Amino acid sequence: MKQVLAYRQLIKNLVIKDLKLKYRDSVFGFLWSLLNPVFMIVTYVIAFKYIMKASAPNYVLFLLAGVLHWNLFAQCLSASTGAVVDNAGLVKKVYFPLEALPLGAIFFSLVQYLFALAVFFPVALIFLHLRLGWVLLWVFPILFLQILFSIGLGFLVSTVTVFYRDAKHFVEIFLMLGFWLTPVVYQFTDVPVKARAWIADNPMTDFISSYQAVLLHNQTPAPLFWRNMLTAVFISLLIGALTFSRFKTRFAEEI
Amino acid sequence: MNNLPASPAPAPLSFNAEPAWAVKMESLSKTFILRRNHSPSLKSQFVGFFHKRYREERETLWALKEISLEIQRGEVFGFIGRNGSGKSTLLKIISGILEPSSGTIQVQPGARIGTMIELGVGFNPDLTGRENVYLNASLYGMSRAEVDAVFPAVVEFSELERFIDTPLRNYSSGMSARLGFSSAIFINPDILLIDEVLSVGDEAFQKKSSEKMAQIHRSGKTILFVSHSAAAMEEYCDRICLLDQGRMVAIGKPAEVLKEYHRMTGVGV
Repeated sequence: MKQVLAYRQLIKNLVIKDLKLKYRDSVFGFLWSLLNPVFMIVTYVIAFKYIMKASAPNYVLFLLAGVLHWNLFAQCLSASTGAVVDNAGLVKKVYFPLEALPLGAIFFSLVQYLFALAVFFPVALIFLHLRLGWVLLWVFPILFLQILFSIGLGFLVSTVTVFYRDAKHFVEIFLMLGFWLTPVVYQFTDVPVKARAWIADNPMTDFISSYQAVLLHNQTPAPLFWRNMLTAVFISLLIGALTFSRFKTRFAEEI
Repeated sequence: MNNLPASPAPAPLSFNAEPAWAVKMESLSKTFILRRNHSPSLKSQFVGFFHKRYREERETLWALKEISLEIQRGEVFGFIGRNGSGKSTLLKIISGILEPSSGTIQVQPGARIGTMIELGVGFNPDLTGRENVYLNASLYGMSRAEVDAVFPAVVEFSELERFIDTPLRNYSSGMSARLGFSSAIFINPDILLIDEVLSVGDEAFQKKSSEKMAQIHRSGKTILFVSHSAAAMEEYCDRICLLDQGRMVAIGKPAEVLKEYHRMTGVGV
């Protein structure tokens, strides 16, 4: 951990590298990161509000709260899947703390989320009846926990991908399934009671519901959500860190 | 340093009684599992379960066997041997990229190890020369301020002033090698590992590089050096070690060990 801190500069440079590579030579550059959530939201508004007649109040803000943070989670996970294998050239030829790779992938996703937030936050205030208040600051502790949760999973998937390249496809399917098992486009209360257990057991439900509580209802997230989020963070970091540190010495040989 | 194991050909041993080693290995071995039909996917492992033809076969390869060695601080130490003799594996173990399968290795505590296993490996073709130098230096744990301090020297040494803000994909291979060499040298390592890279650039640049190496040596840094080139070995090294199929066959003054090497490869001196 100490070593990782000493390598802050490396993590920072990895993030800058990825951002530069992503946006260099593209005409719309950073706009692409905004277009994705915009199109998702437009699609879901048409599908659920106008076709399925979903009754949620302030449905667009509801979607925005869910989609932005789900996308952050999905982005973290897919970016860390290839974090080690895509940098095979470095791993095989230079010695450095390999933790920097998945951490770099997570922070790369976080930076993009923060860019998107900077644009969507004023939009939500002006057009979507987001109420300004100190309670909105609760977003940051939730975000902090979500990043820790993603770091644990990121360590895990980046390790598994070294040994099984299938992990990439598995993560894609897992994310698609996870999206529909999380109340992003529908409200938890609209789910039939029989099916609720599935959705309630999903840790992302606690994260997304907490954001929704803060952003839509100006409420502090319920203690139950905090408890579940902390548990998820603890388990994910434990498994992720153990897996990564157990197998990282074999990375240079396996990839 | 009398602990050379009973290897097939006990080597003439020259040593320095001073305990200030830079790298110390004791009966270090490295095995690789050679896999035929290996592919890191679930499908192939699943198919392999049913079809013998697709099943993975494993064989153990001893890349290094029972190496015991102490390299002194400030020494220029060379490794020579044929292809596949384990030289590069040994450098990778010293740098920490690979772990030994058995035995121990100790490196002078707190030492920054600079690896030139291949020049410009950390380099990304889509980033400019400048961006690559900064990224590469941070791989070695250098802070931004530290890189800022040496950056002008890196550029000057590489003679790439005009191209430093051009993406690397527009560089010739000689140009990126020059940039790689320059940035590796200026990270100011305590132990420098060099693998077959001194033949970079044109003659003038080579001359400049070997002067730079000599200067690093004079400043008391340890240099570990792998090459096929007997001439380079003789020129730079205080001691060299001959490896054959992962075993240490001889160690000592360059002239003697090179004689052994030439006898082994059947090449006249």
